[in-house]
Amino acid sequence: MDFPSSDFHLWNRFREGDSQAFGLIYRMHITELLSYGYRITSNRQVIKDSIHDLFLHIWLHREKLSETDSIKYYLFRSLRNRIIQNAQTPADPSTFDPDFRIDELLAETSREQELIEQETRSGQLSRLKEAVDRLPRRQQEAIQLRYFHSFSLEEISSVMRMNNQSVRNLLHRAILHLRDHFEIAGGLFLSAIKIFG
Amino acid sequence: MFEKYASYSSEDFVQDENFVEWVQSPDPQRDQFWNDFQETFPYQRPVVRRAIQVVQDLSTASQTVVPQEDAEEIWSNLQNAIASGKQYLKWWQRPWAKAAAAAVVIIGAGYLFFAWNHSRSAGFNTAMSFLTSDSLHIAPGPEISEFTNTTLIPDVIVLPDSSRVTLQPNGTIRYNSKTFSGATRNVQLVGEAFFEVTRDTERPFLVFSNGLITKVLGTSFNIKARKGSDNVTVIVRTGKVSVFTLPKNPKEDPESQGLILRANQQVDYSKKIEKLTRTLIPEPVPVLSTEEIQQFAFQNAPVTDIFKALEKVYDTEIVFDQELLSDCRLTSTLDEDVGLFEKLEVLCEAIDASYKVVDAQVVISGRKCR
Repeated sequence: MDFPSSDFHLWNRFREGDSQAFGLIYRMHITELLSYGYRITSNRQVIKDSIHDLFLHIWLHREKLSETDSIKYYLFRSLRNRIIQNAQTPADPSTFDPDFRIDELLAETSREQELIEQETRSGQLSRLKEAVDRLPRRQQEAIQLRYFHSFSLEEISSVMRMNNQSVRNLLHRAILHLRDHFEIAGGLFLSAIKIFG
Repeated sequence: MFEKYASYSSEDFVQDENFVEWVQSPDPQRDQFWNDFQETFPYQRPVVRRAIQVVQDLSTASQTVVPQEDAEEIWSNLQNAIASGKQYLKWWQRPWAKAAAAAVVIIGAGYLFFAWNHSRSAGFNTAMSFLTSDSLHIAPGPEISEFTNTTLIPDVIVLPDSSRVTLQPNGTIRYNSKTFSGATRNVQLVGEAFFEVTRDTERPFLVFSNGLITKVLGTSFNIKARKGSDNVTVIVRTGKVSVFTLPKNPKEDPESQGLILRANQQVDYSKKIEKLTRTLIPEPVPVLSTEEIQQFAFQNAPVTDIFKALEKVYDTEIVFDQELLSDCRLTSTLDEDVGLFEKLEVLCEAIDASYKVVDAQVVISGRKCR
C-alpha cells in the first residue's frame, strides 16, 4: 500500500530543492493561509505581500531551514509575524488599493447569502458567522486556529506568542460571546434536560 | 476517567481538548472512549450531540471569504521573483509553468470552499438522492473540476471540504464543483488514490469507481480502480466505509446489498461477475498506539485472553470456542514487529490449533488442552 508521505518527508524533499515539493506545499496550504490572513488584518495587499515574502523566503533559504513535522504550523507561525510586521509599515502607495475592503468581497457573495437565509439551519450558521466577524480580532484568530485549522492549544500559544492559559482565556471569552448563536434547537433541549435533572 | 465530564455543558465540551480532538480527528480509540462515556451517562447524549454540532459550526463560521485570484497571482509573482532573482534558477521556469497550471485547477476548487454558505442550499429530501445519473458519470463541463496526476510521484489534491486525496501517477479524479457542496460529496475516480475524508455527518462522501460506490463519513481509505480493468479494490485504514453497487431495481436501497468495511479490511469487486468479496488486508496495521500495545503482556494466561487482546490491537474479529480453549495457557507479549498472521501462526502452533480468514474474520479451530 502506498500511503502518502508525511509532512516530514515532503519538507525534506523541498529543502533539497525539489520544485514539485515546493509547488505541492504551496497548493496544499495557500487557501488556508489566505483565510487565516483575513482574521489578522483586512488589508488584502498586506496579506498577499506577506504570503509572497514567506514563500520566497523559504525557497531562497530552504537549505538553512530546520526539520519540521508540521509544515502547516511552521507556515502559520511565520505568516503571522510577517503580516504584523508588514501591517505596521505604511503600504506602498502604488500597489495599495485604498478602495478595496474585505466587506466588498462579502457584498459580492450577498446574493448567495440571500439564498441561504431561506433555510433556517443555514440562517443560524450565517448569524454565527456574523457573530464571529464581530469578535475582537484576536478572538477571531484564535477561534479560527482552533476550530477551522484544528491547531492544539499549545500550537496556538506558540503561533500567537501567548502563554497557554491566555489562549484558554481568549477562547473562553470568545465562546461566551458566541454561545447565544449556537444552534437554538439544541439550546432548548439542553434547558429541558436541566429542569428534569 | 469519565467522571469529570458527567456534569459538563456543551460549552464545556467545546473547550475540552480531548473532546475537540475526537470531533476533528476521530479514530477507533477516541470513538470507543466517547461512546463508552455516553453509555455510562446517557443523559449527556444530547449535550454531546450539540457540542459536536457547535465545533463543526465554529469551523465553518470562522472561515473567511478568500478572493480566488489571489492564490494564482501570488504564485505567478513568486515564479517571476524566483526566475529573475538569480541566474542559476532559470532552469526552474519550465517546471514552474507546469505546476502553476495545476495550481489553477486546485485553486478554482478552493474558492468554492470559502463560498461556504453555498453548501447548505441543496435539498436533503431523500437519503438516496445522490444516485442521479450525473453522479455516476460526471461528464466534462464548465463546472467539472478534473485533476490528473501526470507526474511520476503521488500528488495531493485538497477538495473544497478540505478532504485530502493522494492521487497515484496516471490517476484522475473528477467532481462537479457546483454539486460537491450539496447534500452529498461525490467524486469520480479512475486509477488509485488514498482518501482522507473530513468528517461531516450530514453530507456523506461518495466515491464512484468502475461501477462500485464507496460511502464514508470521515475516515481514510485507499481505492484502486485501474482504467480498462473491471476490478476495484477498497482498503480501509481508519474508520468505517460502506461499499455497494447500483441496484437493478431503483426502488431498492443500494446500501442494503453492500458491505460494511472496517480498518484492516479490504473488498475486491469484479464488475464482470458483480461480486463483492471482503477479506483482511495482507498485513493488518495495529489500531492502538505502541504504548498501549506494550501494555499487553501475558504470563501463563489463557490463550483466549491473548486472542481478545489481538482483536483490540487490530480491530479485527477473532472467532473461537471460549470453553474449548480456556484451559490452553501461554506466555507472550504482543510485539509490534510481528504481524497479525505470524502471531496467529505461533499461537496456533503452540496450542495445536489452526486458523483461517473467512469474510474478514479470523476463525480458530483447535482442541481442548490438558
